[in-house]
Amino acid sequence: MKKFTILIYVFTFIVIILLYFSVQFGNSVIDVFKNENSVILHYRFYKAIAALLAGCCLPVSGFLLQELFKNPLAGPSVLGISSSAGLGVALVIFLGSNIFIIEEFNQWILVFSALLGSFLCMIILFMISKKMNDKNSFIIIGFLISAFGSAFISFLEYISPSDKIKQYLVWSLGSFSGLSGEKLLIFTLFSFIGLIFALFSVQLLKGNLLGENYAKSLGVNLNKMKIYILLSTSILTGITTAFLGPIAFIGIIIPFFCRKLINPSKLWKQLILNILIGICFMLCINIISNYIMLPINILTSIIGIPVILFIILKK
Amino acid sequence: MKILELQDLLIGYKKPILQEVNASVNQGDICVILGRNGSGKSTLIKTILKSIPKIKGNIKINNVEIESFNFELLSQIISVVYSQNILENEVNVYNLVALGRYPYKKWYEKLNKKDSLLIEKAIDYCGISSILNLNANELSDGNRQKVFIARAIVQNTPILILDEPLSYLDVENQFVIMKIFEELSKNENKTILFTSHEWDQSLTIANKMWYINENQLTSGMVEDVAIEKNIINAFSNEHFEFNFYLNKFVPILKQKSVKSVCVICSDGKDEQIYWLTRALRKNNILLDENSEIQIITKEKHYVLKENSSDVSFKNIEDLINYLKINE
Repeated sequence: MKKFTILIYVFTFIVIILLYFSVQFGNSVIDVFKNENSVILHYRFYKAIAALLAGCCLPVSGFLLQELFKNPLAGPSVLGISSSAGLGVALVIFLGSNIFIIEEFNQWILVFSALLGSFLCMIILFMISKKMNDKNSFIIIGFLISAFGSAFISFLEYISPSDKIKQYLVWSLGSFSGLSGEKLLIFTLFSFIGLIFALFSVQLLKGNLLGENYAKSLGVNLNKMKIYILLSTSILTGITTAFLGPIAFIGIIIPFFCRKLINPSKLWKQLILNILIGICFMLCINIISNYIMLPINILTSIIGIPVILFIILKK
Repeated sequence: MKILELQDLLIGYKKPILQEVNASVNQGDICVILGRNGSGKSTLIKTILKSIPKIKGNIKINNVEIESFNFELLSQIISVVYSQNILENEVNVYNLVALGRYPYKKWYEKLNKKDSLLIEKAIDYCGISSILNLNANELSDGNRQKVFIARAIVQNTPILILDEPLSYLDVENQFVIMKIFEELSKNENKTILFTSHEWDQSLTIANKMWYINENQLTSGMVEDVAIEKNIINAFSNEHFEFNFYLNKFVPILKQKSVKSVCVICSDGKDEQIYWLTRALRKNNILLDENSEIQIITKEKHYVLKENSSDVSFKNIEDLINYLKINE
């Protein structure tokens, strides 16, 4: 059997086990099959699904960005896409109830505001990348966008009442919990749309393996490729950020490990592996957070930053 | 049959670089594009590849205007090898070569037997079967060039365009690549268009030349264009001139030579004479058939005859030193 097939079997198996563990284990152990405590079961199941979706979205988004910009350090958090989506969320949290009276609409507005934020950030990145050849400076642009976002958010915090600041802070630490069924449905729907665009862009990215000049001579429609990636990454990052908060570095760690596991130029295999390993990783973090209520961002940063340091030093 | 034809073409960016370009190549031609740095060779190639829009005129492939082809269709007609191939992705040699099949594949299609045969053939042509599993980033310049040419061959297009395929290569690799061109043109009837600065080497295989000079392009058979445009003079400058005796460019002597000698071969090798004449020239000693000083090359030494006295030298260094002292 080929290495890739084995990996698929192994990781699918791990995903199933981890899903079971996510519901079974936590501060109070329950038996999934006896359905003793449906409230906890319900809560943990939703939490696990949220983690699963995040595990699909962020690594795929990071993977596409890295292939497009040909830079292993590109990722939704590093390039400022997460924080731009975050700015969109902050605007709704801080200013939302003043403008929108009907509360039920708020989550849709939240989603679209986050998507708009990440979309605008991607457009800025595209415009800058045309004029810039230096990859390392490009990463700095990402940090600048992040910094701009957080400065703006600080300003909003400064002028806002404390209950809203608290609401924002809880969101900004990142959490899998607290998603209603309806929110999960929206999350699933958008993730699905984002992944479809990702699928479209992979074949085009394959032709872009040798750079844009060769891509043209292989008949790749570069504009189409960029639009697909723009839509895919901004939807995937935006929707995850809107519901779970800004989750850092997953978009870099997972693609990095996938490239170590199988041939980096096999993009279809990379995409599938990214999804599977991403889900495994996020479910693990979810299980940890079943025991200790640590915000996701703290856990991902503790694991992510050493990996990024390693990538930089290896270069 | 004319496969590629340029008619009244005007190309450039904001300012036109080349004007009134009228040129063509036939199927199976090997055509070299010569010209100094910045003369517009790469711009011309990019215009043919539709990377830069043309300003005026027509580019026709098999009598069909190139504008009517989209990139997808063009990728099945022209394949290209650019001059600087910097790889930013980790990709092994086989996969890179196989990428040449990309234009023919839908996303769900895998490489079939016909593809594999084409790939193997290209690998054979370029002699890269021993490096298939290496990472393309770690190849030497010569091997990388061969790998990219193999990729273009796999694309299986009637026209191949290469931007400076011979630069950065040692002489041996230059000849390997020129041999690949020759075989492709003879066996597969492919049309090859390439730019070069190694004009001496490239003219030996090309049968057609597009020569660019002062915003004008002249096209025709290599030798005709060479004579018409006086290429040898055009490539000479204040530092270099063409020496028909040595059959290559040599530096022009800076000071007037004070001495002249006559070299006579008795039983030395041709190679000895070649290096001896080079050394003499380098040291400002001219060759003159009527000179009174004669150097006779023997198998393992050199004899200098001057005023009927013979001096023998073991190597060229001693000989040159002697001549210099006695100036």
